[in-house]
Amino acid sequence: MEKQTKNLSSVLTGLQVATNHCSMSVHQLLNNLSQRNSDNGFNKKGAQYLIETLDSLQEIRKLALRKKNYNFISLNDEPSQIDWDKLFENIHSQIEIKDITPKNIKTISLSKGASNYGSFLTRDIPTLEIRLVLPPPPWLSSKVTGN
Amino acid sequence: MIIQDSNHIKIEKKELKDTIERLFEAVIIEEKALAEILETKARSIEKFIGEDMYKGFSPTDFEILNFSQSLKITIDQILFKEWLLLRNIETIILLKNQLKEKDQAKEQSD
Repeated sequence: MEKQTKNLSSVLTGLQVATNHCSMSVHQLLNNLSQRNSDNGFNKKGAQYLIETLDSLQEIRKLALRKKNYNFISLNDEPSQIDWDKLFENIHSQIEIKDITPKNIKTISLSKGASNYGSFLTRDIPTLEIRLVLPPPPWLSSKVTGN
Repeated sequence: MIIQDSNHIKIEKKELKDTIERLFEAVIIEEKALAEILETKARSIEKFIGEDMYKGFSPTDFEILNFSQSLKITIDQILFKEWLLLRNIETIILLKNQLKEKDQAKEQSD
C-alpha cells in the first residue's frame, strides 16, 4: 500500500507538470491571438474558450494537490509529524485568505503566519453586509391591472 | 463474499484488501493516462502555434475558434474525470478504514 501511495504521488506530480505545460501553451496561444490585427467575433469567442480552458486547468491543479494531501492523511497507516507539517506547508503555500473589510481588501498570506495555525482557526472574520435593493416584482406594479 | 440476506453483504477481509489494491492500481493507471493526454494536448497547441511564434502563426480565425473550442471540450472532460478519480480515492480511504476497523475488532476478540 505504501508503495502504491508513493506511485500515486509521483503520477500526480507528473499530472501537475503536464497541466503547467498545457497552461503555458494556452497562454502562448492567447498572446498570439491578442497580437492579431483582426478584431472580430471569432477571435473574441476563441479567447473566451481559451480563458475558460485556463480556469479548468487551474481546477485540475487544485484537484491534484487535494489528492496528494489525501495521501498523507489517510492512506499511510500512521502519518508522522513530518507528514503533517508537510501537509500544512502545502496548504499554506497554495492558499491565500482574503479578509474583506468595507473600506479595502486586505490580503494575508498564510505562508508567513503558518506557525500560528490555532489563531487562524479561531480568528474573527470580518463580515461584509450586502444589502440589495431589488425592483418591485411586476405583479405589484401599478401598471399591471389584470383582468 | 458471503451474502447473509438481501440487505447485508459480508465481505471477507482478503477480498476487501484485494479490492482496495485493484482500485488503487486503476486510479494510478487513469491518472497516468490523463497526464499523457494533457502533455499531448500541450504539444498539439505548440504545433498549432508553430515553432516561430510570430512567423509561423497563420491559421484563419475560424480555425482558431474551432481549435480553442475542441481544446476547451477536452480539458473539461479531463476535469470531470479528475473529479471522478477524487471520488475513487475517497472510496479507497473509506474501504481502508473499514479494513482497520475489522483488524481492531479481530484484535479485541483475540
